[in-house]
Amino acid sequence: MVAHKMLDNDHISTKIALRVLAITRLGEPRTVRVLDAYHGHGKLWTSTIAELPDGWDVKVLGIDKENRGAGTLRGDNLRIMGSLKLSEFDLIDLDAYGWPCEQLRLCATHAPKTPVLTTRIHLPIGPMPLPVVRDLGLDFVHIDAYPLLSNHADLLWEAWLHHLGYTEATGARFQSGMAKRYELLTR
Amino acid sequence: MLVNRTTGRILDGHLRVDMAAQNGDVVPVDYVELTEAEERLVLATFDPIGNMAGIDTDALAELTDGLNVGPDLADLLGSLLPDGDDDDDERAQPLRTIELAPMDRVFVLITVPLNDWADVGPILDQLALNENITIQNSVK
Repeated sequence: MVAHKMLDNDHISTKIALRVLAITRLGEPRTVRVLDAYHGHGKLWTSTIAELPDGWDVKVLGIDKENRGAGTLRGDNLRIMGSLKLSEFDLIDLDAYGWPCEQLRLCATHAPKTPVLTTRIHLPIGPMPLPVVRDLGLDFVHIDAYPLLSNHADLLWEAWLHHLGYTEATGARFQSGMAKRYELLTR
Repeated sequence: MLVNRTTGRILDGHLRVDMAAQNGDVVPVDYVELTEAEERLVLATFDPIGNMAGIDTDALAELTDGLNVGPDLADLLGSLLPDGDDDDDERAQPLRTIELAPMDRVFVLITVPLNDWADVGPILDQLALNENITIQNSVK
């Protein structure tokens, strides 16, 4: 049997490159605030900051469901994000393990101009998230039909991002058992 | 359990049969009549859908090798197999930018009784001639 790894930081070079791009696209070097909603131990942003050109001062506010120590909010990121003024952040990071649907919807609604970094992981023949299929008008009566849409997961993901108001996605896609997309969403 | 009357093979419920054999229990049986090709297709797709667990890629490759399926189903089955080895997977990839666009497709789910398949199958074959129409997971 093939064991699919579910690591905190798969494809870390690509993810760091994407975050460096996201920061440098914010304009001239300055102090910026980043909300990291799936913070973990913060390795990804520690590595990213080390790669940034001089002049950038990145303040990261991390959220994690585990106790990660000082500087990281512990709890359900959806509830915490709902209580924060998301538009105050220069960049929001949703480095999730699946489809960060509700978190991304919050960003699109309350911080529409803020660029968002996403990690979207999709299992082969995995079910499609209901918020996505319903937003796209694909509300089949038969729940068994949802896995059939799995073959079109990327098409549906991109259409849903457009539905949320994002017009451009920059990133990379990996297919190795699971389909992983790492992207910077802007409008 | 599910048994293919044509080949006599068990398609689903192996564990239940094993347990029943140990305990002397009786197991209800549903029979289907499938060709060998159809049976391989069922065996290739049953477990991943049912379990969403790990996939024995060697066994899957053996089952699907030479199987005559439509391009979409072939893609679907192919997506179960890893591309290359893990070393390739860990390499950084160049970033690219895409413009996001609204959904430009309609998905239609059609359920056909097997007894009517002879009438409906050719209609779907005609539809599939349109390069913009994808027929997914049809049984032939």
